[in-house]
Amino acid sequence: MRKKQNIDIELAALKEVVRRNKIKNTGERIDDMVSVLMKKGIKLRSPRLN
Amino acid sequence: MLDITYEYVWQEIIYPNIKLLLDEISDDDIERFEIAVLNEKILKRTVLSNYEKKKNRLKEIYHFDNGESDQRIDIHKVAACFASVLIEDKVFDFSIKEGLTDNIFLLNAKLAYNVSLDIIWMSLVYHYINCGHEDIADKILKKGTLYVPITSNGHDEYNIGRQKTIALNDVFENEFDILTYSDMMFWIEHYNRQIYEQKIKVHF
Repeated sequence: MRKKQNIDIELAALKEVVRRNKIKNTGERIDDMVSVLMKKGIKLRSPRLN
Repeated sequence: MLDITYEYVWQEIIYPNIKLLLDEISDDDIERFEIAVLNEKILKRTVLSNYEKKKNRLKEIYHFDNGESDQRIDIHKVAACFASVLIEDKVFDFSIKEGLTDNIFLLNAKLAYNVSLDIIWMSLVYHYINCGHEDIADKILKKGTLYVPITSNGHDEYNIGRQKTIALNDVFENEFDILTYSDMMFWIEHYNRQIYEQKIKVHF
């Protein structure tokens, strides 16, 4: 079984693995989502008028 | 998260879920098991503050982005962060004594799970509005919950099973695994998209 090395060395190596081939997250922000829902007057669970 | 965003999340998701769970419990049981909820104003502020801490910690330890400033986290991780905060903060306080029902014992786990699912539900409503499928957004709103898979014989219903898992991990003091939980959120969202886009047929 592989022995665990110094945590700093492990983390530095892991950071490289995580960075590699990573595409920038271009997903929607929750702020943008909520802004659209508010503009549309979307109510989820708060009491609805109708 | 902008203040106005959190206000919406609080008013439309977190607070109604607290109320829904409380409404399911009889007045007698509330008195008998001394069920209490922290003052709304304090609770609202505490949850946001702890959410921000949790999210910043997540970015610090898991988002290695070559120093770019725009470290956005996706909606699945937002949902997971809220679940983590809610199970750690314990919105509901109650006494454990004989006769305690599952619903009461699981109050905090249910809230954590239900809020995280509602955040995914909200994001799906947004998604279909944003891509011009308001018909699907309406269907999702009318359903009021997300579809979850049917479980096999001998297992809890899916939602109850996940709530019990959250409670078990909490009781055993296992650290809330945000990355794995956000992956569960991804699959639940994907499952619902497949159903609404009629890529899979499911019989309920």
